Amino acid sequence: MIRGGRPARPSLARQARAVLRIELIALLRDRRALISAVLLPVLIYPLILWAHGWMQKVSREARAAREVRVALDLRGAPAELANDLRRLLEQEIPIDLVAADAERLRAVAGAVLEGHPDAIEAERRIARELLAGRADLLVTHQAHPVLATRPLFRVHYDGAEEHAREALERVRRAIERLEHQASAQRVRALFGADDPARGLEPEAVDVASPEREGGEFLGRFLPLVAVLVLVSGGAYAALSAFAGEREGRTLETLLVQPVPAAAFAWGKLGAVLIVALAALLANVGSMLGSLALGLGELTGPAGEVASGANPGAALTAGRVLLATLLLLPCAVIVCSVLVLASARARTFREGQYMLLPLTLLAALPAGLAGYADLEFDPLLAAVPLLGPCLALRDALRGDVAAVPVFVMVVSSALWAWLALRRLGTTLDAERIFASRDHASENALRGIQSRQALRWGAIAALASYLVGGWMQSQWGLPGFLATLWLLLPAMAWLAARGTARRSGESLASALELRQPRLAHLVGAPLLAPALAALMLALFHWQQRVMPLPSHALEDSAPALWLATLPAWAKFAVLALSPGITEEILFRGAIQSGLRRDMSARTVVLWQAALFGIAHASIYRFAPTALLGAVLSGVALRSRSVVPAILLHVAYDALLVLEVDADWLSPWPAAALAAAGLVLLARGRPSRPRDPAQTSLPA
Amino acid sequence: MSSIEPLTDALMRDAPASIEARGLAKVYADPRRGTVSALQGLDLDCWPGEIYGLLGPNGAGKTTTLRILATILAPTSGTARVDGVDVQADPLEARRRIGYLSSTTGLYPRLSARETLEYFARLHGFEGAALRARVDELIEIFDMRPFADGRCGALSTGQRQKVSIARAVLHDPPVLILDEPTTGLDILASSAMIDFIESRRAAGACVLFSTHILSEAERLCDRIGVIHQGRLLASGTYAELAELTGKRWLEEIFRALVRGAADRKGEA
Repeated sequence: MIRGGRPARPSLARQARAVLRIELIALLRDRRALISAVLLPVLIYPLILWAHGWMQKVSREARAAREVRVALDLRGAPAELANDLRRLLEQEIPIDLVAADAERLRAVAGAVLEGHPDAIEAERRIARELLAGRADLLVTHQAHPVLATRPLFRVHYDGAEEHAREALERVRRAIERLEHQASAQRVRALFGADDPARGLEPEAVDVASPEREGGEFLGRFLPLVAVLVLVSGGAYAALSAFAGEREGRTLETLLVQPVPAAAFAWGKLGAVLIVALAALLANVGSMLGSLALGLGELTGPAGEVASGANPGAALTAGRVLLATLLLLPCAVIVCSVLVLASARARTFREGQYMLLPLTLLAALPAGLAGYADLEFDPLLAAVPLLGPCLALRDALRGDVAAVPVFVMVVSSALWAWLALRRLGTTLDAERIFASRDHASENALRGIQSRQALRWGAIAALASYLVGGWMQSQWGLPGFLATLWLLLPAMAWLAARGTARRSGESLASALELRQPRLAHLVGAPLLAPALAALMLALFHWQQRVMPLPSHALEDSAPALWLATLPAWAKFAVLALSPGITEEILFRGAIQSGLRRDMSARTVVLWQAALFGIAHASIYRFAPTALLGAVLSGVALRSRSVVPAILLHVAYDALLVLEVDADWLSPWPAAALAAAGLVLLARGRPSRPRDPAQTSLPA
Repeated sequence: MSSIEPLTDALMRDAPASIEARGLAKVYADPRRGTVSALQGLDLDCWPGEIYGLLGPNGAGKTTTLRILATILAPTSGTARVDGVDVQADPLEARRRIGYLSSTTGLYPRLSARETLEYFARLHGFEGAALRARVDELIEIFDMRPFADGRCGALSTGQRQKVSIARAVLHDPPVLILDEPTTGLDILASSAMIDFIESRRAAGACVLFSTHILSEAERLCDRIGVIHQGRLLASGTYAELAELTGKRWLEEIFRALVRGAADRKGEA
C-alpha cells in the first residue's frame, strides 16, 4: 500500500518535463555528449586558427630558407636595367646567381614570340637541357617582337620542382620591383612629385561601417556553420535519447509507464533542441572570441577574409537576438528530423549511419545561403532550411525584408509541424517490438547493409579523388580508366564480400540476373521523360544556384568532348557510365543495402551516394534524382540490366542532344506511362526473400 | 479456438479475475518473412493472490502474450482485461495497475538508483513530499540505502535487480507481469527474485510470469500454462496437468503435451 494513496494522473506537459529533465541530466553526465555539444564547438576555432597559422608560418619559413639557383643571360638588355635586376635579385636571399649562355634558347624563343608555334617543343627541350642539374630557373632577355625598345624577360623553369616554383616567385618579385622603380622614375619625370610612386594612385575611402562589413562576412559564413553545428550538436543527443534507449534496453520499461508516447517524444525533442542550441551558441561564441583575441583570420565561402575584432562588431545585441529568433525554426526542423531518424535506429551505430546523409542534405541549402547573389525572395523563403539561413544572412547584414521573413516563419512552422506530427510514431512499440527473434539472421543482414554503405562511401570518395585526379592528368584516357578500371574494381570488391557472407554467387551479389522482358522494354521508355525532367530541374536550379561559367570550362569532359564524333560520344559518355556505374551502384552496393533496409531507405541512400559521387554541388540534385529512379527500377526488376538500359538511354539523349518530336512533353509522358505500366505489370524475375539468405557454415 | 480449455474450474474464485484474456491472436506482417503468426487464440485467467507461470520454449509466444497484456503490443484479435480495465480501450489506466519487468530490462547507467525511482515516480504522478517519501520507503524496503546515490552503471547485478524491482512496484500495482525474470541471474539474485514473487502473492497481488525453467515453475506456481507455437496447450495446477497427461515430472508433462499437439496437427 502507498502511504497517502495513489497520486492523480499527471498532465502530459508535466510528464514531458520530467522526461526532458532526466534526458538533460543524463546528457550532462555523458562525457561524449559534452565533447560533441560543448567542447568540440568551443575548441574547433582556436584549434583550426592556431594550426592554420602555425602551418603557414612553418611553410613560409621553410620556403624562405631554401636556396635557389637562378641562371641569367641578359645580353641585349639595357645595361642599367640588367644591373638593377641583378641587384634586386641579390636581395632575394638565399639565392645563387650564375651567368648562362642561352644563345640557342633565345633564338628558338624568339621564333615562338614571332608566332611560330612549331618551335614551342624545341624551346622546351633546349630549356630542359640548359636547366638540368645547373639551375632551378633561367632568365633570358628577348627582343620584343613588336616594340623594339621594350625589354622582355623570358623565364624558363620546371613547374614540377618545388625549388623552381620558389625561384619563380622570387624572380617575379624582383621584376615587379624593377617595374615599380621604372614607372616611379617616369612619373617623377612627368609630375615632379615628392612621392612619385603615389602619383596616380586613387585614394579609396570605404564608407561601409564595421558593423556592416562584419555582418556581410558573417552572413556568408554563419548559415552553413550554424546548420552544421546544430546537426552535429543535436545528433548525439538524439541518438542517445532514442537509439541509446533501445540499445540500453530501457525502452520497453518506458513504454509500460502510464505516459502517452507523445510525452516521451516531446520531452526528448526538447532536450535535443536545448543541446543543439547550446552547441550553436558555444560555437559562435568561440569563433568571435578567437577572432577578437587575434588568434587568426577566417576565410568565407567567396574567399573573403575576416580578421581581428571586425566581424564581432556586427553583433549588436539587436542583431544577435533577431538572428537567434530567425534560426529557431531552422533548429526545430533540424532537431525534429534528427529525432525521427534516430528513433528508427536500433543501435547507436546504425543511427550514426542514418544521420550522415542527413548532414550532407542539410549542408546543401545552408551552403547555398552563403551566395551573395541568391536573393531572399518569398519563393526561396519557403524552402526548408534555405529560408531561415537566407533570413539569418540578411539579418546579420542588417537589411532583412519583412515579407520573405513572414513567409519563412509560416512555412518553417509548417515544415516543423509536418515533422513534429510524426513524432508520436517515433516510439511505436508495434514497429519496434513486433518481430520474432531471428538474431543471427538480422545481424547478418545488418552487416551486409553496413558493409554496402561503407563501400558506397568509398566509391563516392574514390570517384571524386582518384577519378578526378586521373581525369585532370590524362583527360579522356583518365575518364575511361575511372569508368572501366576503378568502378569495376570497387564493384568486384564490394560484391565479393556480400557473396562470401551470404554464400551466393558473385553474379547474384552484383544483381546480374536475367530480367523479365517487360522490364527490359519498360525501363528505357522512361528515358525521354527523365531527360526532360532533368533539363527542367537544371533550369530551375540555374535560377536558385546559377552555374558559374568557369565551372563549365573547368569540367574535364568539356575540353575533349567537342572533338569526339557522335559514336564515340555515345560510347564514352553514355554506354560506359551506363554499364559501369550501374554495376557498382545498383549492382554491388544495392545488393548489400537491400538486405536490411526497406525499399524506401535503399532508394534514399542510392540518391545520396550517386549525388555525392558526382562531386559537384551543381550536379547533385539531377544525379541524386537519377540515382533514385535507377535504384527503384533495379529494385522492381531485381536485376541491374533494366537500370543499365535506362541509364544508357538517358545519357545518350542528353549527350547527343537528340532533338526529336517524341521528346516533347506529351509523347515523353506517354512513353514513360507505358514504361511504368510494363514495370508494374511484369512480375519480378524470381521471388526472392533475403531472409532465406543462409548463414555461412 | 484451438487451445485446450482450462481445467481449473475448481480453482475459480469469487473475486473478479486480475487478468482475463479471450482469444488473443497476434499476426505480424513482416515485409521480409511475410505473415508470422505469434499467437493463435489464447485464453487466460489469473486471480488475485495467485502466481501463474507461462511455460514454453523460446519462440512459443510467451513474450508476445505478456507484451499484449502489458499494453506494449496490440492484439490482432481478441480482448484482454487487467484488473478490470480493457488494455486496448484504456491502455494508460491499465498501465497504472501493472508492474512490468523482464530479464532484459536495462537501467540508465548515468542515473543513480534514487534518481531512477524519482523519474518513474514522477511519470506516475508523484510529486514533492509524497514523491520523496515513496522513494525513501522503497529504498528502505529493498535495502538499497548503501548504494541508492551511486550511478546504476556501477552497481552489481543483484543491486541492479533490486532497483529494477523497486521501479516495477513503486506504484504498488495489483498485477505483476514478469518476463523470464530469473534468466541471466546468479543463484543468489535468482532466489531473491523468487522470494520477491512469493512476497507479492502474500500481499494479494496477481503475478503472471513466463519461464522456460521447469524447476522454477514447479516450485513457485499455483497454476501453470503450457504454451507452444502460439497456442496454450493446457492450463492447471501441477497435479491437474500430471493427471491429464499421466506423467509424473513436469518435463515429461511438457513433452507429452507438445507431442500431443503435434499429433493432433498431423491428424488435422
